[in-house]
Amino acid sequence: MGTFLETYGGLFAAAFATTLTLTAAGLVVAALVALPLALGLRSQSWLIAVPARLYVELMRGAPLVILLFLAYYGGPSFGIVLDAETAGIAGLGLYGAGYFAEIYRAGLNAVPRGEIEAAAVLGLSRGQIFLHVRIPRAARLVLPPAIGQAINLLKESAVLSVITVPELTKVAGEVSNLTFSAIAPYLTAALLYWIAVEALARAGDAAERHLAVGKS
Amino acid sequence: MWDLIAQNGAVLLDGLAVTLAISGAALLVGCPLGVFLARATLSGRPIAVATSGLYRSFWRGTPILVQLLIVFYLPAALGLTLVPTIAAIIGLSLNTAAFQSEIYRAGLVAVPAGQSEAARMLGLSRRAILLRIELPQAVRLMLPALVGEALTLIKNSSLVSVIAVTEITRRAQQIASATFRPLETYAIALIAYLAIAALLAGAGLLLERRLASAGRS
Amino acid sequence: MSRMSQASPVPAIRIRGLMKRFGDRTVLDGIDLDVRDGDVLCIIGPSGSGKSTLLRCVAFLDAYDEGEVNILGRLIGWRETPMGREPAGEAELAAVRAPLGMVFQHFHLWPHLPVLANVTLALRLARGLSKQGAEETGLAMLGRVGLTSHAGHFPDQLSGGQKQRVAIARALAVRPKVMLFDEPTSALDPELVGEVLSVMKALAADGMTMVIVTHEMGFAAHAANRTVFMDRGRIVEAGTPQDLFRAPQSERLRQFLETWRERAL
Repeated sequence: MGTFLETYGGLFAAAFATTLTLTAAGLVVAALVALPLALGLRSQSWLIAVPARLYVELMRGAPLVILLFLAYYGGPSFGIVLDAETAGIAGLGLYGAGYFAEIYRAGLNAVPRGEIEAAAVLGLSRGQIFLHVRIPRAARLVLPPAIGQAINLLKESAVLSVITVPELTKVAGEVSNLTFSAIAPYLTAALLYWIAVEALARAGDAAERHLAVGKS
Repeated sequence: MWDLIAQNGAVLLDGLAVTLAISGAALLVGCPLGVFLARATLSGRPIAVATSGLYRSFWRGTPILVQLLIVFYLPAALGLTLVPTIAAIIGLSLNTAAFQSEIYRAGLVAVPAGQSEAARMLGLSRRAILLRIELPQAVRLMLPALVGEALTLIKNSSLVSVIAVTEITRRAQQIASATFRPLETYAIALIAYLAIAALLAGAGLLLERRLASAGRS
Repeated sequence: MSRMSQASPVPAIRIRGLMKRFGDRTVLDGIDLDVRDGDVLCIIGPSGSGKSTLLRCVAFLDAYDEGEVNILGRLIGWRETPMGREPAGEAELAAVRAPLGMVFQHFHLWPHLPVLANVTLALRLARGLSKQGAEETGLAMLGRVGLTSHAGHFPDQLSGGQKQRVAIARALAVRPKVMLFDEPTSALDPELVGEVLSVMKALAADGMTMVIVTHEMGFAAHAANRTVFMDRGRIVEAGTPQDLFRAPQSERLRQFLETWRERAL
């Protein structure tokens, strides 16, 4: 194991960094794309609400690997040629957006009606209520499921290996081909994912506690 | 697209059947394992709590793709041979057990403790209390989460394509590279997954309504 | 039905030096008490005095820390070994507990089963009766609490008083020697208390040995033959209801009765 790490440690470190970078990029795309989607889900007009709902159900019902195949191998059929990384980030982001939209929507809906009415009675406009009451309150409710979803995206990013993105799982596969032994590379990869997931979960707990303090 | 379906429909259907069989088998194998883990967590015994917690943390904290690869290659490293399909079922089962155990734990906690106290006072065994008092009620509470887990499992089963199990994703890959028409082929696979998801969600709702009215007739 | 009235040599329940702590709080602080065959014993006292915990320790739903609780002469919950005490196994605990029936404040009926199945489940699973035999017994028990006509209902179709009567029938079905009641009327709307108390009075008149934790002073005064007043984890006074209600010896009992009378007015 010692020599294994000496020989391949650098490769794994670089691949781990790639995994983290791609996940972070996908997360940003997901969190941003989900904003208009969540508003769309809440729209009174079915012309907006139905397509938004269809998008969300599509992303939640489809395996990421199929979406990636469609984007990476199917894209050229209508003239969209993406390199693997870009396809990966786009895939992760658009896939995650479906989940994030649903999280945002639930958070916005969970703000107690009484708080909205109290603000309305005080003469705040609908826009002001949305900006100053609904959003800040929803943010707290959204954080725990959003952390969970970020963890899911980190884990799902392993699927990018099948479209040849040189992230952690892909590199573990390559090392196993070089060493003719699959267990050590894949266990190393698993350990690194595990550490990242636990760290993210801890950070989420800490953030939640920090926000809870602001409650009183 | 229609010619593609006409030529490869049988193969794709076969892949779909494998997808459903593998997912179904994993869901079933994961169930008792998940109940066992949930009970260990609720037992209050430090070693059982720590062990089941560690199990959950690993299987929920690492990508399922990596888990499948480890389960696939580990027996070979130990000098055993494992058919890919069996490796796939084992990997998916061990994974879903961790997620299912969390569902069962929450479901079991939701049944008031007083109900099992009353049962204990009447001389019912622990097993009888679990099977006759706690699980029937917990199942109703857990059904939506279990349907969600089944959906996730079917989506996850697409990844066993990397260990050469010829389920629908693998079949689609084969067809795409043979016909050079990836867009349509993967679109067909996507539609198949969405159809399963819709059917499963519908069945879940139906079952929920059935169970809700069964307690009332 | 008549019943042998001579005192049996072994008390139904014998409690000696019972101690129970939750964390660093002592909830039961050295309880000594005998319950004899045919006793109807009411335990009264302020909230938090340890009454319910005492009952739960007798049934070993809560494990006591020190002292002894013997049910018909057998120690419940613990097994004495040369190395000290160890927890009794599941089967042993069930065997020692078998003479006890228990009725809870919140009924704890099983909501997914119809009323009759609530009563017959233990008969079938724990006593091994046939479906038919269990249902005959079950219906007879529901008859005793006046609810035969509700056999097919589900618990949440019943009023609180009806639920508690089903819970009593369920406990009686396995033919316990001693019935423990943990505040059986405290969760009920005032107008539903009477029906439960009259079932309990009928049971007492039948000669059932009963231990009742209650806030119903009227019931304690008229249906019980013994009353125990607890405060802060100890038995402060014990005697006949007349002794306690007419001539309280301690300041604490006097205050407790005073508060209760003021509230009743």
